[in-house]
Amino acid sequence: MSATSEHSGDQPSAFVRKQRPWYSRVNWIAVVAAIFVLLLLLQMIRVQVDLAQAGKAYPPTYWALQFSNGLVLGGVYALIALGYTLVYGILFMINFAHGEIVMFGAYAGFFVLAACDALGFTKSNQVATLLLVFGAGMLVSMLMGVGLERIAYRPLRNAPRLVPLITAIGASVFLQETSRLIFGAPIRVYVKPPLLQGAFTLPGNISIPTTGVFVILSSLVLMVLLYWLVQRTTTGRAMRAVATNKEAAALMGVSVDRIIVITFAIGSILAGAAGVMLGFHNSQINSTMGFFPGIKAFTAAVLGGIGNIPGAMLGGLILGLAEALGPSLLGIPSQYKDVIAFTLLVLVLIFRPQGILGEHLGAEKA
Amino acid sequence: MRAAIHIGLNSGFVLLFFILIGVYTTFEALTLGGVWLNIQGATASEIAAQVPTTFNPQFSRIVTAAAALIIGLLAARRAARPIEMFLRAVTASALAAAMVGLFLIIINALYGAGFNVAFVFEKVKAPTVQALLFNQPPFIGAAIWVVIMAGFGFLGALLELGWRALHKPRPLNAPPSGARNTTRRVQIGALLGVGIFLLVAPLFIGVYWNQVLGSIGLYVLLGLGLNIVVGFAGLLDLGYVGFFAIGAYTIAVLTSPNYPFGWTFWLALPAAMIMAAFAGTLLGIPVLRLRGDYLAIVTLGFGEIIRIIFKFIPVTGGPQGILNVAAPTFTIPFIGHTVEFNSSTPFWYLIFFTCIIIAFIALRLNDSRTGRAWMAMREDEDASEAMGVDTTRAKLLAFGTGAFFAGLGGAIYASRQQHIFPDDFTLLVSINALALIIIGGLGSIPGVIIGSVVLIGLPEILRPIADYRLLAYAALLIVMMLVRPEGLIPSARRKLEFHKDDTELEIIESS
Repeated sequence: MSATSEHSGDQPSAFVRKQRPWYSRVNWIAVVAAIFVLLLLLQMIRVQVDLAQAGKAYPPTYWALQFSNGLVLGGVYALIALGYTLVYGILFMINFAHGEIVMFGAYAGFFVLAACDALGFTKSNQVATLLLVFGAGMLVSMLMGVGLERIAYRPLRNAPRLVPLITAIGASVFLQETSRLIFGAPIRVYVKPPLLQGAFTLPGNISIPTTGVFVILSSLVLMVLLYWLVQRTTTGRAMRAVATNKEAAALMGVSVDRIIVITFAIGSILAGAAGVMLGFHNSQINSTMGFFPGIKAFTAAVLGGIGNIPGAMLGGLILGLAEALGPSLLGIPSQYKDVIAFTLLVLVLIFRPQGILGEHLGAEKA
Repeated sequence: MRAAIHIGLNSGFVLLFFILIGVYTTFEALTLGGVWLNIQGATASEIAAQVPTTFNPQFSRIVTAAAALIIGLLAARRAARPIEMFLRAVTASALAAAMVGLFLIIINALYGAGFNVAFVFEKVKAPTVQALLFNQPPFIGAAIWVVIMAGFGFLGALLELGWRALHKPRPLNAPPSGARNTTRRVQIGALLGVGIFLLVAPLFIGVYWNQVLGSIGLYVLLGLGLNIVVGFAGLLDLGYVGFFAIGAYTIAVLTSPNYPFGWTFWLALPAAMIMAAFAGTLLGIPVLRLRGDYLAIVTLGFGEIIRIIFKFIPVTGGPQGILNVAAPTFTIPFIGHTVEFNSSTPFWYLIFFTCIIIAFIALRLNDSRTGRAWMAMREDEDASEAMGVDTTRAKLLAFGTGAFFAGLGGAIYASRQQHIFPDDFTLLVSINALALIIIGGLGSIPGVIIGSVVLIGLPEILRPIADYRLLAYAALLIVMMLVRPEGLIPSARRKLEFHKDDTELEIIESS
């Protein structure tokens, strides 16, 4: 190994280290990444200028629509990212199966919606139906999350770190397959109640789908509720205490096990709501629908600083906007939007591994 | 008694899960005759002709009986006195049966009330429920379930009793019986035997099993490479399939007549491996500072990025992939006979010898200075750095070597298939490879081979239940992590690591 030469006798004193030459002090990864970012910006400007010169620039209504799409995606990502962040903040593990909990929430909501449709309940009580659908999604997701913690994660709490991670991957595939086998492979279609059909028209002839407005508003409400819960209630204080230091919290009389279960429950409730929202937004669900939003929401959580609640919200929003606006800005096909999310993740990890709002992660957390 | 109720409830849930995922209907396809035809290499339609078209719950009755037997055994194990054993076994199995019965009654009632349950639970159709209720009125059917399962639970307890009578429990502090005394010579002999069998068998077993053997071999290659990254160096890499894809695409572009290169297989093979290794090292650079979970996600992202890029850029043929990948030809030295690689048999030999070479390299790497550096890094990155391990170098080497092997596997895969599509390289391949090295035993080379045989080979024999393969993998992964995290054939060091706490605990308890 190259380190051995440093410790051999050719240096006058082992404690005096020569200043390294400038080229080894520069963080070349960051330089390359910075050049890459610059190139992206240049490309963006070039594409937009080209389009403008050719008279094909996107109209403002298009940008407004994309922006609202970004907000919708951002809201959903933020809700899922909160689940990752809450769990990570306390257990320092990635709950890989979180995306599948989203998917189960979407299915539960779908079945309740279908039942309400079939019984003719949707027509007469639209608001009650929506509440029921959300309630079912959240309830089922919560049960799944708590069950998952009990069966797959709790026995491994003191195992080496690779072990729960592999279990989580296994759980993710297991839940995906379970839903495919139980509910069947074909895509199910969310039928929007009349309340959510149509579009809002803002001044300037900008129209935004009603589902979009609905998703943005309801995710905002949920996030405010979560913030209140974590910052203003005793349970929230206990959660923060456990996240800071498990042993000390236990000594202060906090039941760590209970708090972990509550954390999983809250994260899963948000995931269930996100699943129903995804169902309404994309209007179709299947058993693999949770996987990519799950991964991207994790990206969002890292982007904002994992373990940090406002960070997850901010990260989700940024990621959603980047995904919705990025392809048009850069002039690339929209199939590449998944690449945008992962590129963003890598860039964040190079420049600011602790995330936008995150505090510095010590070795034990990273 | 509480333990028995617990076991009963849990196994009841498992049985309900089986009903929901349709095990009871699908397993009808798994008749012994069908399995035998499959082993002989019959086509799917020939096997399908053997499968009864009407639902006949004979097989599920056997499954249920076996389940009840196991429940009884489990429930009886903790009890001391025979009466208690029987009581617990019967309670547990009857409870599980009662849960199933209740479920069936409810579903039956729902169907009766005009609800289409199959809209939600696709596998629970009305005739299935009828058959599971033994075509009796619901309450009688449920009662039959309880009686039968309680009976088999009783038998289970009887088995446990017999087992105890035959085997006196050994005292807690006695040395483990049956210490391993296979000598090295026997091991080598067995290895040679298996090797000769694997060399000769492909000439007799037909096309289908040659394909299966080849797939197992390719996964062994992948597993050996991933084992270096995950097992030796402890870097959880979920984007491993990306390098497999790069190897496959490199060789496809270089050899396919649709491109202007037109290289031969043997010329393109090193190029594919070097490309993959280069990509692996390149990926390693930005993730140097990441550990554990972050690394997993970023590498997963890379794997997906590579697939998406291959899928959408026109150079690599987009979703249609690349056709007409060249197959190698090989002139046997001294004899001068030229082998055309036009069937799966020569490919099997290629894969077999590659596996042996790669396994040898991996073994030597494990014992080398680099291997020790990897191991030190896996155990504690900071401590190893303090001890003078250049972790940057060690990490990049691990990524590069792993990717090198994956590129080799990808190249052989592309050449064997003769065509590649971007969707051959989904995350699933990474998960399969990860699952097989974990089930075999992380860091252990025989473990990779066993894991590959178990995960890739066994499902081929049980092809009628291929639908459940992934579910079973995932369940196996979870159970393995909960019960035996070191894998089937753990490397000596791993075994020590995972059971260090146990021995400490024993020492504390005995002192």
